[in-house]
Amino acid sequence: MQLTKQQVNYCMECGVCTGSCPISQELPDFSPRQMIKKTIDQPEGEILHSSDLWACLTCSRCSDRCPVEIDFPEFIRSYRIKAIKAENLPRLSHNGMLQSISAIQAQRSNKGTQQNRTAWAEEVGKFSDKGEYFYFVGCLPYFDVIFQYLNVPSLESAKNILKILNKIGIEPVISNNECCCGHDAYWSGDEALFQKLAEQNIEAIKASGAKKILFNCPEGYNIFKEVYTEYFGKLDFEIIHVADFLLQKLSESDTESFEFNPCSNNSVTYQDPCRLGRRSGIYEEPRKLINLVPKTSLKEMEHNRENAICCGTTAWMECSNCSKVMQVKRLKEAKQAGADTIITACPKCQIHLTCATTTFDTEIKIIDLYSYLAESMNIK
Amino acid sequence: MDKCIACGACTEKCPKKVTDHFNAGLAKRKAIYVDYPQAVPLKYAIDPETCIYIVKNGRCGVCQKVCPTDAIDFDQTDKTINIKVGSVIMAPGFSTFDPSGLDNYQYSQYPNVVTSMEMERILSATGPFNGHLIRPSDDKEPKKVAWLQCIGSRDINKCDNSYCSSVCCMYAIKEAVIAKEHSGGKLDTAIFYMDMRTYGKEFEGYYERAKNEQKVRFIRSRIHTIEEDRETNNLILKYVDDQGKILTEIFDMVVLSVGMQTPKDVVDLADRLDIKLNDNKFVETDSFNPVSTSRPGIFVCGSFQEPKDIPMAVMEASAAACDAQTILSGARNSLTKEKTFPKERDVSDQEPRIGVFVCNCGTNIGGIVDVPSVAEMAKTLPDVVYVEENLFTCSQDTQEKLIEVIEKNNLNRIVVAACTPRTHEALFQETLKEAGLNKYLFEMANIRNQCSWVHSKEKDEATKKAKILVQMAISRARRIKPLKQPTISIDSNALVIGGGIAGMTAALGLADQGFHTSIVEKSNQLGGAALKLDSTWLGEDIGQNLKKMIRKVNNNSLIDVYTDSIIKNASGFIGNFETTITKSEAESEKEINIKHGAIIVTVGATEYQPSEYLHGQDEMIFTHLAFDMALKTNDKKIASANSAVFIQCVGSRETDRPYCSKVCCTHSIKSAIKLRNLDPEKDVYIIYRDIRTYGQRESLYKEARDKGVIFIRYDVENKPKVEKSGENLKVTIKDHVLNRNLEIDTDIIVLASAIIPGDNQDLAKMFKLSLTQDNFFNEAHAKLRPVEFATEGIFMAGMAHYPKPIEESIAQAKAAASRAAVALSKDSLTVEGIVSFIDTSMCRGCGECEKACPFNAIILEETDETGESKIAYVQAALCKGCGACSVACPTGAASIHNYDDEIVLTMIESALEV
Repeated sequence: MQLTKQQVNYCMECGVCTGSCPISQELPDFSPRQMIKKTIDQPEGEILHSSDLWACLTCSRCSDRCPVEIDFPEFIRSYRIKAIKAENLPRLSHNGMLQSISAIQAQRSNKGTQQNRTAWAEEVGKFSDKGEYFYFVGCLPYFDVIFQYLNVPSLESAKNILKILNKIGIEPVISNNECCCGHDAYWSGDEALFQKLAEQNIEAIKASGAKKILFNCPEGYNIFKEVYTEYFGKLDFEIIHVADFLLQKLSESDTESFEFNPCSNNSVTYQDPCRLGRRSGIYEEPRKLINLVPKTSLKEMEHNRENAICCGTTAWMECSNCSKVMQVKRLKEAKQAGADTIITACPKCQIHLTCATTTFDTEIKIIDLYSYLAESMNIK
Repeated sequence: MDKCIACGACTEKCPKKVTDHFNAGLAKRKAIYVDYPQAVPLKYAIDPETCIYIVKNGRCGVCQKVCPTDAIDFDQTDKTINIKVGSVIMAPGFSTFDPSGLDNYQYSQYPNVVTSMEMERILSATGPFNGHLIRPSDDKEPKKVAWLQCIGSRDINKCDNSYCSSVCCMYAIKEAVIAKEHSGGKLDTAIFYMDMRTYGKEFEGYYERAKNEQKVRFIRSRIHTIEEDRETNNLILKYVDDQGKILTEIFDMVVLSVGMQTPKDVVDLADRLDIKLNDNKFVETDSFNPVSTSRPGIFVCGSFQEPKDIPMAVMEASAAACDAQTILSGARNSLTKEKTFPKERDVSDQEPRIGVFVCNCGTNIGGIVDVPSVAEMAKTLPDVVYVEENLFTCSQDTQEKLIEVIEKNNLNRIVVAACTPRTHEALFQETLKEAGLNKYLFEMANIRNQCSWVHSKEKDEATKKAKILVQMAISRARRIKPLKQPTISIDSNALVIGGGIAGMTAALGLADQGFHTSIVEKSNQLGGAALKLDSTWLGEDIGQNLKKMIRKVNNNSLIDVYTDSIIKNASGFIGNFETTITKSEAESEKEINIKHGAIIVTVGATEYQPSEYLHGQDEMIFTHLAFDMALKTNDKKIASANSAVFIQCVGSRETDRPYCSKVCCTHSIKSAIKLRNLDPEKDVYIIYRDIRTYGQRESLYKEARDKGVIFIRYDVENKPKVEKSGENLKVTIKDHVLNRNLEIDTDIIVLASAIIPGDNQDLAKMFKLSLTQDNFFNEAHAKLRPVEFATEGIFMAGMAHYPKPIEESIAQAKAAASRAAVALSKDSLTVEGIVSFIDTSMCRGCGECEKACPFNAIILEETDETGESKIAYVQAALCKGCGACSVACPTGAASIHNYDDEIVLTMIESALEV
């Protein structure tokens, strides 16, 4: 959905956007309101060459509150497409490695590059090539390698999801032909790359015959739900978030077969990922899942649910001092809430918050939702 | 010589083939040649004894005709040059022992008996067989090779070299390991030896790995005769093994591990210079002046002093430089001339105006690459305003022309498409400076090595590649910026940590050159481990010499001594260190801040206190230091003892402490001789694993045997047993020759206990110094930089580096002083322009760059008091511009000036465009 000029013109200059923006908190020169106003004045002007265009996290805290419903993230995205043409490029984090990986995946079909993205699953559980359920693993196998230096075990969440699914009698499809969902390419203004990736994924899902697609990555879930449908019309499969799915399955089945051990952590808190919370409206399911574990003491951080604050970077770019400050604030909020563990449902939140702990003296642990569940279910 | 561009055309056409002595006579070379592949400067020379033109009066001269630069001048003759100098350093080296005279080895007759020097060349990639292991008789790959040790060493029967050549054990192991690698591991290798002398740093580990992992066979037996099978030219060795069994083995090849000796002409030279040599024909030195010859002002280093390996020779070389610098310190810089350059033009606001110079390198490039078409292509590229072809862009007249062209065309970026920046970048940058341009506004494309040389058969492809390289160079030139080269002032004071012999020597070495030095000593007095030692192996009294040294230090106004002091804090980098020391006084502690430009770490080592062999349970059981103290204090226990047993390798060469402590064999033998001298009736035994009296210390071993000291060898699996038997002590040991247990009743036992590193961790952490697995300090390069740390401005000496005797500690300390003086004698340090920098707004303070930096150039600084916020900071003076930080940085905050991602990616893109 491209914003029309008129939509931007709706702006009432109320400032709710800049006031809500976590970036503006740290970098006073960054102002969504000013960016809108400048663009009303000069639609193809300064903004095309501005680095602010890339600093936005598209976390949707502003748009979630805008009284006239200006979709600021969409505004940013549409201008990023133009900025690339004007040779205004973002500063890629990790030397652009993750962007390169996406780009290589998009060339898979014509260059014959083979992935090895199911090897992990062979070691932990049962899965198949065809079936009703398709577990969309996302980028976890790549993250697991890239972020070894931070000791973030990204694949743990996928392994635990597969074990839980197996336990409730589901042998999902896990496909070696799955590729990057294109979320980052889409939000970075690279529509061509997004489209290529999306086509490959739809093809892979079709080939499996699956009708129910399970996602644990909020970005994959959200991009399928919001954008795949926009680009490719109604999809002939159902898009389900695994938190929602597990909550149903675990709650409806008799508790005898799923014994939960009491929680070994003293108290935990939950980090709402932007794409799962504000962009998909899933706030309560993860919390309910956490509360399935007996003796869980779930504390809420000061900023939670719609008010939650982003983990600091999106789309593997523009990570900076500012991101670090945001992350440290988030860690402190957790501490203030009385939690010693942050549970997150997003692999990127896990990576980013863990990265911040490496330079900031804190005892807080960051673990993923499904590992937390699996540990209590004694199936780790 | 200035004209020679080392193209090699002369050698190719020269008709005269002669024996190549560099390859140990195993190959041929031409009469015009480069001595060896790494020769510096890389220039061709004519061998006047074989050149046809010179020998046959002008009947050739082909080289002169083919030389593209007119560099050949047959009229050159030997010249005598007189130089006035203030001191002389002798480093004439050694020759290897010539085994042709030994008829039991038939080196001259049997083709497959080679010397170790020939083996070195055979194994070398630049050698006569390109590193392919083949034997001389039939050019076939050998399946079994034997090394015979001590050929021309430790032998007074067949030759006069009674000393040990010190290096042969290690090189034989190395050759065996490499030979195995070159033959894909199938080769059987055997080393026949008497004692395996792997006493150097990390040597014992290498020996153990060769034995256990690479399966090199080590046979303790000296081979008396080599016989040859006349049909196969195989070699037959007969020897006796440990069990006394006579064995016969057939080898395809035998390597004689020849020793080192002083060449005849060097002996004559020493005679002319009036330098005293000893009986072994090495320069006579003493332990406290290890590089001084008998003639003041003349110093010696390397194997002319005694056979030695590379690191020790390098240390001595720097030590000799230190002593020479001391004499010459008053004349420092009196003959240097500084070059001046015009003021730099500010071009930072100008659009790029690029000048491109494409070199033909005679026919070197032009003969293959279509240089005019490369130049034409360059003209079409953006921002290129001037393009020129040169016969030789590097020639002197072209440099002058370059300056003119730059000025006339107002050029502000220069691209030279020629040879390699490794040899020529500095020359062109100098030209830029003379033209008033910042030297970093320069880029080279290597269209010789990377095009005409490697693609000489594919001319079109070579031209295409040359165009790509030039296009890449120009795309970079468009984006590079002038860079500053800030200068940093240098504090000429030094800090020495540790006040033992090494520390005091280093401090005196610096102070005598005029540098103020502070010594920080943990204990309450100077002297270190030497305080407890009796005499050197040469018999010099250590106590007396130590007193003299301490007096010298205390009387030197340029040396401050802080005893009872430790290092508390340290920061800074070469030329600009700041250190806080804590000094304990009667009832309080005082903190002292010192600013200094260099650091020498001489914290020494300590003696292992054994728990084995009843140590600590009987007052008649001594360690080395305790024994020396007893000698020094005329302890009656020693005088009254009728017998003594020395047990070697106590705590050394074992699983927990795998290194050799180096000094113990010499010390035990010296002590044993002393006991026999006190009373020839005393029974003295030395129980050992290998006797490691390397170099001329071998004379002590001989003397001890002459004097009736009894040596009994043991294996680590069969250690001696020590028991109390009544009043006496009893040592039980299995004699391997007799193959039965011997029981020795003895009055005293001396344990050659290991030398162990002190607690070096704290210091290592504070100054970011690396330690070996054994916890000794780790030098920057085991062979070539034995006194430097990887971090610039920090040096080491003495036993902090590895166990060593006094003469070696002193040589190393002088070397450290010499290397430190190189830094301290400069007024300022010029920082290179191509260094890393941090975009602070992007920096998360994660520290990945700090971890990645091999030069300790990056530190994390706290930006506020909470310590939550950190930012990486580049100490440009230490940065080498390697870019490791930039790769490690997760956010892109770290990059290298003029080599940032944008520039490099643009170059790659332009390469893909052509």
